[in-house]
Amino acid sequence: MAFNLHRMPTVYVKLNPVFLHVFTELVEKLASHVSLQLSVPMDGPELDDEDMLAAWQEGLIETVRGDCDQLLHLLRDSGLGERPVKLGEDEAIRVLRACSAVRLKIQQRFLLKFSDEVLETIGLDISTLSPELQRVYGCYVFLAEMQETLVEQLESPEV
Amino acid sequence: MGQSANPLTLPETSTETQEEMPWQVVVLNDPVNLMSYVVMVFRRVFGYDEARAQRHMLEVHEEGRSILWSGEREKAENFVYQLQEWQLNARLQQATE
Repeated sequence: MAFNLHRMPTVYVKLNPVFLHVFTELVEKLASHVSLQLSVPMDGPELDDEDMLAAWQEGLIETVRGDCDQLLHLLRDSGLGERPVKLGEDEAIRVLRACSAVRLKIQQRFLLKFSDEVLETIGLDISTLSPELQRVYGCYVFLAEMQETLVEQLESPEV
Repeated sequence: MGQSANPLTLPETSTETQEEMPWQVVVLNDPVNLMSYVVMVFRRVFGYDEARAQRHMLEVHEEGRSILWSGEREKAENFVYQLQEWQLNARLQQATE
């Protein structure tokens, strides 16, 4: 897997199409979970203000749903893996946030038994994992690399 | 027999105002979000420069939490909401001293 991003907003991902297909299917499934149950704890509004709580939660769900749609569009319909793909800044931000939401969901559903240290350094030995976990962890790493590259592009000073 | 009002249940009529303690925006560590991503989020949400954003990110990473901002509740809520949109574990708390 290799990323070759020139300056924003062009994204070029070199990835075996089989892996891309597997990761896309996995993201589709996880995105539906993310839309039903947020990946982050909701904290902030007064707990006795039901209207505020509902608006807060609905707002976050609407945002993450839109973010995941953007990520899925990038994975399914943009030609990613075949040619460079142009992303606007807003689109890149949505993809970044969706990657985080999906990665958090992966951690919560599949990787809880692994220590924070191992996950922070992306240091799992993939050969020791079951086939299902290999797919999931591969997707986790793939999304992390995409995030790393997008952040680098978004934060690099204009030429 | 008439009932006399219980003075203990009377609504408070004092006009004395107490200065409210500031509200704090706290970010907690998680093992998933990348350091570079967190720094970028702090820069974008709070407008912090690279050094300050880095400092807060390291505090979150090493201490488990960092207070990113403090002030009025409404503004703090807005920051917490934005951070949660970015998928960070953000909390709102009132300063105790």
